[in-house]
Amino acid sequence: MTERELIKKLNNLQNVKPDDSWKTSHREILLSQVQNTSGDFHLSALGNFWMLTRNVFASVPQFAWASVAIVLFLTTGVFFGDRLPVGPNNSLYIARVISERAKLSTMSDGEAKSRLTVQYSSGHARDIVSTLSDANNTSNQEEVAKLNDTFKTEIAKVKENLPTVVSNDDAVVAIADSEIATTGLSVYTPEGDKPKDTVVASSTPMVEVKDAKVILDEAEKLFDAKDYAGALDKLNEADQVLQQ
Amino acid sequence: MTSRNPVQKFKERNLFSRLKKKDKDAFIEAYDLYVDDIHRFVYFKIGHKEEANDLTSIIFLKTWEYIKNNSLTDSRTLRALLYKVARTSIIDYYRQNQTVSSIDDENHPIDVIDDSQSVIEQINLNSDLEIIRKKLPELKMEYREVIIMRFINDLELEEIAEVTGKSKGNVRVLLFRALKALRELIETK
Repeated sequence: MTERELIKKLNNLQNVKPDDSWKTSHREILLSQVQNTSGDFHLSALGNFWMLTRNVFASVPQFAWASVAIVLFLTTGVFFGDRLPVGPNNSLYIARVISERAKLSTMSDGEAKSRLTVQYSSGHARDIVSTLSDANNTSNQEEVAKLNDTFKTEIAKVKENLPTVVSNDDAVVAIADSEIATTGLSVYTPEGDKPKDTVVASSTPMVEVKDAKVILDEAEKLFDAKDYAGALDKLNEADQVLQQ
Repeated sequence: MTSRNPVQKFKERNLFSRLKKKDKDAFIEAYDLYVDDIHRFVYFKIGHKEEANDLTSIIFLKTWEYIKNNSLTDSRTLRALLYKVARTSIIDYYRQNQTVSSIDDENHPIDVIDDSQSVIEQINLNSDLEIIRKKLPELKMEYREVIIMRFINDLELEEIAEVTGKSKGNVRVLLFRALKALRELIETK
């Protein structure tokens, strides 16, 4: 007999129960004995509610509550992140950023990923500028320094992903090199690994990359000079160029 | 082995919370909920049905007395409290009756109350019961106790640890040894 079989046989013994007649008669005796003892139980509605709530929390495993909390946190970020008036120093905003990163990490299409990175990062940069343009938010210097760093990081991300995003519709991947951009452009087709002949960069995409980069540089300068309204205008302008 | 679901756990916690407030109705509900388990525990430990009935009555009365006079802060669950009382009551029983008994004799077969069981299931159960009837009393009391609590009455390791005053690790080791010993006993029949 294996251990498993033995345990199964032992489990079967759960069906061993006392006689129903004995249980009923003993219940009556016990009930009368208990009722005859002194003291009575009274619990207010509020006390009852508190007791029930505490027991519900205690009965469900902690990891289940933690999972529910995480799911709620992320769901709020995904569904309401764009609609809620929250700033970069708010916990709901952090939820939104986490859900955006989760979405990005699941994407395998490089171009779409870059496009989304540009979209999110420029959005974050705009949010930071909007937050800092509000005088109420600039009192905490530590927070301001953090947002400054984040702004720089987001702008760097946008610049890094620009060439891929602005590549043309013929599935040509442009190389982000400003020197090449002014003289010519090496292009690669998806079918083959070898580069085709260098072509003259008269195409619109590289002009857009350059334009967008220049505008982003200007936005950065204005941001450094604490001209938040100007920086916001430049960011919107860069957005328009990229959407064309 | 079936473990209790969150609804059952909630019900038990709620009952225990009410008992902490000395709720008499809650105690009767607790009786309905646990009488089978406690009776089974006593029965498999002492081996006599009639005495198991008497002892179970005493255990519930003693538990009510304890609840009435104490704040219940040192017990984590109601089940653990009932088993603790059952354990001490059985020890008292053994002190009064020095002879160690076996599970019911041939003239007084055990009643297995379960109408939903098929005839085959009943036969299997009776054969399992026969093995336990003969072999369980041969086990050391310590082994017998943990086997009943864990594999027959489905207590969690934490509860057994609380009832026996041992650590969870010790209970695990004890269970392993107890199962091994019971298996060896059954195989040498």
